[in-house]
Formats: sequence, C-alpha cells, structure tokens
Amino acid sequence: MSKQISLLSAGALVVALYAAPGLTHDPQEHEAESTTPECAAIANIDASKVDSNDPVMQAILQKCQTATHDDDSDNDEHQDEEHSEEHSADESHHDASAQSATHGSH
Amino acid sequence: MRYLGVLLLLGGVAVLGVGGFVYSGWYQIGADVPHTAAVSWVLETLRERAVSRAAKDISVPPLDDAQLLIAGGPDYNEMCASCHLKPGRTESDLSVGLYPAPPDLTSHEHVDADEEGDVEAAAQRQFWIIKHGIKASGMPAWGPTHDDERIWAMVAFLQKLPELSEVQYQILTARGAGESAHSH
Repeated sequence: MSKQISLLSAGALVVALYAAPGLTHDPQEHEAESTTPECAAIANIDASKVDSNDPVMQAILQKCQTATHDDDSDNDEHQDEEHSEEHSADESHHDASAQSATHGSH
Repeated sequence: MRYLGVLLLLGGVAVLGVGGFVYSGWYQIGADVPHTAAVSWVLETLRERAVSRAAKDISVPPLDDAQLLIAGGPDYNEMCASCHLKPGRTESDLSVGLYPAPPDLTSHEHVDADEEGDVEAAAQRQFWIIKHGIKASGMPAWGPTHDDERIWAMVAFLQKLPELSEVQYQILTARGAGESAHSH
C-alpha cells in the first residue's frame, strides 16, 4: 500500500514539474524595454509609398528625425570632447616641450 | 389591502434574505471565480449605462494629429499596456489575472466604436473612463494626476493602436533620452 502511494506521489511530482512551465512565464518578460526609438527598422521604407496625410506615419517620421538629431548631437558632443582632450594633450606636450626648451636654454 | 400586506411581507423576506447572504460571507469573492450570470448582467449593465450617461456630453477634439500620437504613445505604454496589451502580445499577468478582464485595446472590437457603432461615443467613453476610472474593476482614475490634454492624447493613441505594427508601436511609445519621464 505504501509502495503504491510512493509511486503515485512520484507520478504526481513528474506531472507537476512538466505542467509548471505552462503556468509560469519567463522572468525576462518583466524586464524594462528599450527607451530609444528603433528607427533602423523603418530605414528601408520607400518614402514615395508613404501616405503623408497619415498621422501615424507623420508621428513616426517626426519621432525618428528627433531621435536621429539627438544621436548626431551626442556624436558631435563626443567628438568635441575627444577633440578637446586631444587639444589639451597637444597643449600639454607643447608646454612640456617649451619648458624643456626653456630649461635647455639655461 | 390583503395583497399589499403579502407584498410587504415578501419584500421584507427578500431584503432579509439578501442581507443575510451578504453578511454570511458565502459569496465567492476571489477574482479567479467568475460571477454568476445574473450578477454579471447586473454589474455590466450598471457599468455600461453609467458610463454612457456620464460621457454623452463630452466634446471630442480632432484626434487625427501626429503630435497627439507622439504625446500619448509613451503614456499608454507606461500606464495602460500592462493590462490592455500592445501589438505582439495576446496576454499579460494582469490581463489574465484581473476580473473583470481588461479589454484588449489592440483589437478593433474594443476601440473603434461603441456597441451601437457610434465612433464619437467611443472616444467620449474612452476619455471618461481614463479620467474617472471604474470602481472595483482595477481601472484607476488618471484624472487627478493628468490634465485633459494628456488624456485626449492617450485617446488619440489608442484609436490608432489596433492598426499599429510592433515596430511602429516601439517607435511611437519609446520615451527618448531627451523626453521627460512619466511623472504624476
């Protein structure tokens, strides 16, 4: 009798383990999604086939123009920073050379 | 006179019976057990009639506007999509677990027009429900923390929602780095 109960319990456990994934879901579903418009997905749209009076397409194009502009601004700022760093490095190098030259002239 | 007495007696018994049942705690109140057909009918009729009456005089502004879609998209995604779904999703924890089940707003059936096919009445109802919420349904009132302009932007967005692809939805609802996050 106890052997039958053990077998039944084991069977129920196996069924439960197989059934559980059907009741639950992947925790990744709760992860936050990207907050950046993924405009690359519409980059290949034929502009001549777009209805310019469609507010959905107007909104998408405006949103992507803004996003592209923001990206360009970020890149420009990044380039400016790099340029500035290079410039500072040059100035430091120049100062060091000048000091060295001055030191050498003594 | 005799009939009136009988009616009063029956009325009294009915009131005592309903009151006794309410007080007994025997009603299945869990959200995973549906109401009986009679209770469902009463509650749904109460809700539909009350919303229709309250929303019928609301003036609907022009909603076919790209700026409204840009404004309403991120709010819908942050405030509504977890219950009312989005393109590519057929269910969520909340759409499955809430009772009554929140309507799937990616479906034309729940967005385009009211039960009588009136498109403007649908927009009036959507605005009223977003602003005031619905008691004991899980639908909150967003009016105390969001102005009418912002609520109309959400109405404009959800009117376009059934025709959006997943890609279009992602672009319209993404709150870019330069845009302010949702605040109450």
